[in-house]
Amino acid sequence: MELMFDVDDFDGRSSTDIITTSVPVLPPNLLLKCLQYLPVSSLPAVAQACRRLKVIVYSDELWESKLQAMGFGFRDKKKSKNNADDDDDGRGASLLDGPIDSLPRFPVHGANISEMTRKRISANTSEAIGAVNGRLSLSNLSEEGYRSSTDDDSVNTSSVSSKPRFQIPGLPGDPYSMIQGRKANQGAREQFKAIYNELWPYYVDFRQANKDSKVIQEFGSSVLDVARMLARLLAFSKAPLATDSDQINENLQGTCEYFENRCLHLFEVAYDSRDIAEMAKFAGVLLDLNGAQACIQIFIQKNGIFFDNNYEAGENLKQYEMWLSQPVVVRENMAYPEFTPMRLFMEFTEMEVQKQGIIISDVFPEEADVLYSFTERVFEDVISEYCSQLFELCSMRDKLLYLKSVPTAYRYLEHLENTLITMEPINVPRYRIEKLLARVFAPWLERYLKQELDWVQKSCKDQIDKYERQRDNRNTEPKRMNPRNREVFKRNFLRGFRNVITLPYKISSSIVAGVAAVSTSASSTPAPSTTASTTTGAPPSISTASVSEPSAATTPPTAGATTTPTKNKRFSIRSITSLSGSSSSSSTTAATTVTVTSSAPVTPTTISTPTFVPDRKSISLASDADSVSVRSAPGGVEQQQVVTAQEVQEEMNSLLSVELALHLIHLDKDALQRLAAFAGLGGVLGGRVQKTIELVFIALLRSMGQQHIKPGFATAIQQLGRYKPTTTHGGGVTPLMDFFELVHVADLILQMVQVYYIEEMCKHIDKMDFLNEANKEKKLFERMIDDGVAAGLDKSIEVMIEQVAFILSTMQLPTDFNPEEGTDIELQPTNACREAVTCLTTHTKMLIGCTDKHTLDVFFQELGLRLFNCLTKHLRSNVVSSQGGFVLICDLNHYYNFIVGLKQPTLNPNFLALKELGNLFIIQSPSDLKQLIHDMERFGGILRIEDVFEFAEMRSDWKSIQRIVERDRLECSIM
Amino acid sequence: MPVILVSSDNQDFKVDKEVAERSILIKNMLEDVGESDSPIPLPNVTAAVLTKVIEYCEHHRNDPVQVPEETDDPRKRSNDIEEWDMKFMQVDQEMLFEIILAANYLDIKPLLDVGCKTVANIIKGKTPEEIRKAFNIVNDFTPEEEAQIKKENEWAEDR
Repeated sequence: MELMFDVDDFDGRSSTDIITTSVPVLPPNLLLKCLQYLPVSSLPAVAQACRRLKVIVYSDELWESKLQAMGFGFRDKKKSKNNADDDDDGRGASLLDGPIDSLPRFPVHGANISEMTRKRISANTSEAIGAVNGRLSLSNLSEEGYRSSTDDDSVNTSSVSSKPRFQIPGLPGDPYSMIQGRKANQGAREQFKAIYNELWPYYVDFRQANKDSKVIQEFGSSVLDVARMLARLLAFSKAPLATDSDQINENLQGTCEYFENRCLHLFEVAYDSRDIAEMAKFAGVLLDLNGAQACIQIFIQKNGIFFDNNYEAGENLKQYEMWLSQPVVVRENMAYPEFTPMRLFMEFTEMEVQKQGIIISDVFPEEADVLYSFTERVFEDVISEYCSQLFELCSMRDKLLYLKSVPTAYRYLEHLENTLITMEPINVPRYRIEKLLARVFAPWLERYLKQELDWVQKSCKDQIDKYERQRDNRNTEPKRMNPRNREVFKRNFLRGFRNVITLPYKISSSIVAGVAAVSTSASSTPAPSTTASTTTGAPPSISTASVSEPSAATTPPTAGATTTPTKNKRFSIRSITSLSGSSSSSSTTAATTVTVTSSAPVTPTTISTPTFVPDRKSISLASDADSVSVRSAPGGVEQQQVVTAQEVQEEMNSLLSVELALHLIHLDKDALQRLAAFAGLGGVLGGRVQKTIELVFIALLRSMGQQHIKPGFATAIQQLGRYKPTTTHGGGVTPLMDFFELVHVADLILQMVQVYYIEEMCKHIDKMDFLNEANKEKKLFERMIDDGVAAGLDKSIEVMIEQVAFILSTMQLPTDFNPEEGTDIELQPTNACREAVTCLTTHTKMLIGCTDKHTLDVFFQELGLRLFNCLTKHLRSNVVSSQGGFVLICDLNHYYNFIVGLKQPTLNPNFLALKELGNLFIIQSPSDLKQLIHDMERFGGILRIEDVFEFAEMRSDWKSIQRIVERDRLECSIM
Repeated sequence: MPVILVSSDNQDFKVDKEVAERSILIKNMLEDVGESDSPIPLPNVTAAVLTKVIEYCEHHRNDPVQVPEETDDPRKRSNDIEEWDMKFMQVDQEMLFEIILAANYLDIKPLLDVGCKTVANIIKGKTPEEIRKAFNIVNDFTPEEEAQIKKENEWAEDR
């Protein structure tokens, strides 16, 4: 069977005739491919077979593939050549010596070791071969060198193959000559040959499995040289060399393993005896051999931290139990368990890592990356185990404890991370340690975030439920803000709240408890000292006594003529503000005490033992106990009414609770503070943390809005709807007042949320980002309150008008405007009018400042219009004599003044027109009256002629003058 | 959807698309042409060879597609041929070369590799004369030239 080659050989044209072209022929590139699979030892025979094959065997491309197999990067050839030229004369010179001498020998001792290893060693074996390349490039690869070397042993090659050949321009190049002519890898065969010549004797020596190989014999004096040689042989063996390569490689491998094990053993011995120099020596040897992975593993594994540390996650739980078992008083003065055992553990780990860092820098070169490997193991084994155990235990014990443990652990780990980044003499680059930390922490974080959110949602709900249960059960005295001081109160409260919210995390958490305790406890008792919180290590505080100044008692003025009980709507804010121990915060914690009370001065409260309370602040809301008794002063039916009204009021008042809102916000804030530990995280995890932060805020708004405020408003509005007008004293319609109170409370809550949002949330989210879920939710929350307020106000207009109508219909005596002849009339508004206006004034005043101006404007305008209609209707039912006309004018003026007081200019014309109506009744002459009725400008277009006529009919003498006036009216209508 | 391949001697071969796409040439062609049931002419491949090539592709239809870098593994060994491939390659030399050429043309890298390895295995361990005999090569060297080449390559011989 014949083979190949239909293409003419350039220097063997004569032979073409004997080669048949019928057989399939492989082009040179495929032949080359075939030959690449051949072991080196088979190639000489191929070269001798015929010219074509010889060309291929001699082509550098074939040899290049072998060099590549040995891990020899061709792209770097030039560079390594330059390196050899430029920066390492010593090495270059020594490499120029004979092959054996070319093996670099380095003195291995003591202090210099790391310096040396770093210079010399590379885990990458290709560089070891590269050194040979360097030598070759120096000796052979320069133009001259190449020629001279070819002269030596391939003189005849050229004589054989380099017969003059001419390529005709334009004709396709001859593939063989092209292969031969490729300049790019020129010298590959020569390079390979040199390496082969040097290493082959050692390599072939491994044909016999022999521990005492040629390598060991010749280099036994220096372990390092043995290692380097073995490493080179290993790389060398990667190329197909002989037909029995596999067997040889196996033996070589065996020897390497034996050698490695011995070195590892010696390394271990050195480790145990803490002999840094010896350790460094063998680490260097092993690095040269195979990158020393096994050695690094041993180094890491032998560290006691992995099997012999006395730190147990359970200790944290024990500390917690101990803390729990303390009596309440002591517990409050002690720090909340700060996971001290964990701190100790982390400190230990940090110290150990630092210690190891120093050793590692002495023993291993930086390229070996041992510190990172060590750190990785510490994170993945020690810390991971400790943390997951801790988290597991904590979550079994107490949900909140778990939620605290995760951020605490993370903070410690962050500290460790920073230590590692800034460590001397070697450190771990930030991006790597961050990646590592993220990887280790990710699963925990994910679980934590979920739990945190669940917890916020659940405890918000719990709080609200608890509050509602308590509301159903308890029968506390109503608290109401004094209308006069409402603004002051709100301002002060918010200021206090702002201070609290900006306080550090640990302290503020206890304040919630304090506030709650104060406000739910009997109000006149001194605030219990549950507000204690300590910061460990803070200087003991100066004495803390609450400053509480009773201000002058104020009783709301009541305009009613009837005996009005002094409505003790007392609202006392006892701001128990402590002087903080630390001077920095003392300015913000200046005592703000506003106490508005008519009762005895509140007992100054001393709060717990001063020494343990470095920083304390609390806001307490309390009302006085005696308000009930004072309130129920009137007797008889009225008392009954008051009682029922009071019940409704109580219910109403407790529909919304500032305390509860305070609770919820603090609860949310705690969660946020915990989450803030992770705020620095980037990437996917950071995004998830960010998301959770938003969700936690949303959870607060949702539960507060949907479960508390919204139903609160709904109930309030319902109650308003149920209200039937009754006689009141002093103008207070209780459900109305309660509703307005509710609006105030809602507004207060809204402002609290706003403060919280500004102070806390804005650290995490962009205020301007209108697409942000949290921002959207906040808008929704505000809208919900606004809607509630609007709906309620709508209802309350009705109630107020009904009430006014009721007052007018019950109190307006028929004789008011139509006094019997001869009685003296007092030129002042009638009782009914005064009562109605008082009622209106009381309520409208309450609203000032409770919601936004726009809503109020709308409210007042609507109220005015409805009042106008109500009044016109009411007035028509009266008969007015000319004398009573003056009284009526007084009344109308009174109404007008009230309306002007509302500062709604659009309403004024209506009431002006109403005022003008008064004139209808004091005019004597029918013709004048007629004129007046037709004077439309006078009524500003508000009242039509028909309306005015209707009013005119109220005149007591209408019957007698009707004809005259009516005539004109008819004329008018005909016209 | 099956693909119709037409050999140089005008024989139609109906093969699954998946099988045909072992050939990168055909795969690219199909990608370029898009959905089309027009037959693909393969003027460089005879029916006999194409039968053989399709047999190979059928057997390897589920192999993972090789990553280019992986295929260029420099540690080339001629003795790591799968058993099935070994049997598959037990053909006369003419067919062997035809398969290699077809694999090269159709761009079926694994088949090309197996073919080249098989050739290498034939050459391995043979003397020059044995090689010439095996492949029917005419010695175009003068004895002096041959001696010279032998001398030049002595270093590479397994001593």
